[in-house]
Amino acid sequence: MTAILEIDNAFAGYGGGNILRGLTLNVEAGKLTCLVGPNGAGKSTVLKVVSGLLHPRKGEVRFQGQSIGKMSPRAILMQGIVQVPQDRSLFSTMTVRENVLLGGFTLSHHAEKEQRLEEVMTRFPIVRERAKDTAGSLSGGQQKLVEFARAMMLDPKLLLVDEPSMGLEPRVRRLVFDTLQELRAEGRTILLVEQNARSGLEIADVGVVLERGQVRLKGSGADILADPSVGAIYMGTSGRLKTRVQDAPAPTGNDVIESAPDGAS
Amino acid sequence: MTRRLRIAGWLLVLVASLLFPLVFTNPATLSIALVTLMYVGLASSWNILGGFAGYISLGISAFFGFGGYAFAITLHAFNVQAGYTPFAWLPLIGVLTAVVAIPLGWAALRTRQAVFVTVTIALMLVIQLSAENLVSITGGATGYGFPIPNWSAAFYYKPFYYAMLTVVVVSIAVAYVVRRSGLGLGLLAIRDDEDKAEAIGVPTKSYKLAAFVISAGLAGMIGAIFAYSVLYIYPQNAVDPLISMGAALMAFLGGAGTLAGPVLGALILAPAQTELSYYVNGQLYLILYGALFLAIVRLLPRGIIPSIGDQLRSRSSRHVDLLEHDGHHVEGRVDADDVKVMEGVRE
Repeated sequence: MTAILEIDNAFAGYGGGNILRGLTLNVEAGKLTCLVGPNGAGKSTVLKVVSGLLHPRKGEVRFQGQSIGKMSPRAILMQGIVQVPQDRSLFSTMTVRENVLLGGFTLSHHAEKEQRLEEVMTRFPIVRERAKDTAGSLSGGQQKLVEFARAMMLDPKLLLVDEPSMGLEPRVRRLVFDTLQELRAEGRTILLVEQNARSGLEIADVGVVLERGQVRLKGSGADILADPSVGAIYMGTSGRLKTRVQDAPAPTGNDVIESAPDGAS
Repeated sequence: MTRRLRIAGWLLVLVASLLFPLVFTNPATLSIALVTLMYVGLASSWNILGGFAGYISLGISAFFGFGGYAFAITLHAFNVQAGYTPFAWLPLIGVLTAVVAIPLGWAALRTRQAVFVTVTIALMLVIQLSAENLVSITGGATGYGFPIPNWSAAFYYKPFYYAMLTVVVVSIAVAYVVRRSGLGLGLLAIRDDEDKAEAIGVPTKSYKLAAFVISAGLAGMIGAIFAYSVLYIYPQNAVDPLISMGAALMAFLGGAGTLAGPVLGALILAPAQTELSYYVNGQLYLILYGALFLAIVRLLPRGIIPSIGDQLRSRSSRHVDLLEHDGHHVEGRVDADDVKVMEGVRE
């Protein structure tokens, strides 16, 4: 059990409030770890903190033993942590090939880029098939696959995947999870955030339930799925969160941050 | 269009441009040809920033004018004799303009989109005002003269034509190299979505600045040749808003972001503009020019070259579409949403 990523007692958030409140989490190399939890639990915030888009206010983030909590997103990218963002992140006016090449932008040698592109095209045939089409002309599912392909350009040591099934029709969603499972079988280390907890946990080695910015449960994906208390948490808002929203007499700044950080999480 | 056909097209245009002054010897025709070449070069260098990175500048004549003044002042300062020798100083003028563009670009590129457009216009006016007010350096409103070459009227435009052609070829070559490089890939990503580009590791700030500076340096050399050809430089002919807008308009007409677009746009518009100003009374041609601008934006928002490309592509993909639809019929799926879903699942 070697942890490639260690998050130690991290506090992070926007404005006056914290979304992560003393989160401690280890991600093991070669495994698929899936974060689930209600809206606002801090799932996406964890990814932001790891990818450098948000710096933790307190606590420590270490990747392969090295502190990355204060690094820029670009520096973290160079460390080998690549994110597949939640929303459509391809450059829609550029070709599929150009998009995938951009994934290897930080590679310094041209030959290395071309070689990686060849490997990625073999791994994701759609990139070769649609190489000259603009990314915007692809369907949502195809775009997601190209996003995975692009992330593979850097041969990432840690792949962060944020809500890959978002906005996709169920059959396409299956395809995305199959791809994730294949990547896991190839020995990739993946940190997955998934709203659809069942799909996510089914393919995960490790399941982590977040609530209110802390780890509430951690275990094998199957164990978490079987846990009766999990259902209440991941099926939308948790009981505690609901109470909080109802109790609040009027939304003050802090309440807004605590109870409705959907957009931010 | 195949690669070979494309190269043949470029070579044809190059050979035609090389032979032009030998076939059309009338000085009036050559002066129009010189202005046309000037616009081909300006539109192509504008394209490096405006087309590739999507940063629309309406102030390229700031650097066009700066190059002209820098050339006149340098020739005077080093007592360079009239004739061919001044042309040897052009690379220096290009570098000088590029160096001056660094701080200006650094400031202007902190803005985006409409604000950037406005800032570039302001930049141009600041350069024009400086030319007018720094009397001891620029000669103020009276302007600054060039050494006069001892060439016959029939021959006069030829050296300028070939000098301009050289710089134009350099501009297009630079645009080509940029487009094929990592810089070009990064600039296209910036045009598409600057924040996403930054997120994926494109050093957006330095790339934009590089495009700005390269574009300015080329415009400076073009402005220098133009100013030398008219022998006299003053604030209004050096820093002319119409030249700025013309270069941008020509690039848009042909297709901003493509290599051939700005060339094609300039070859169509520049002679038309000059002819128009001869035959239409007074400043009326400006109104026609404005109407043309509206027509282009309305009818060909992406320009000629990309529109032709779209046509070709939709013709070849129609065939594929039919096949896909056949497949769906077998599956018994007909509605549009399902087609979309199936496309996603296909592989």
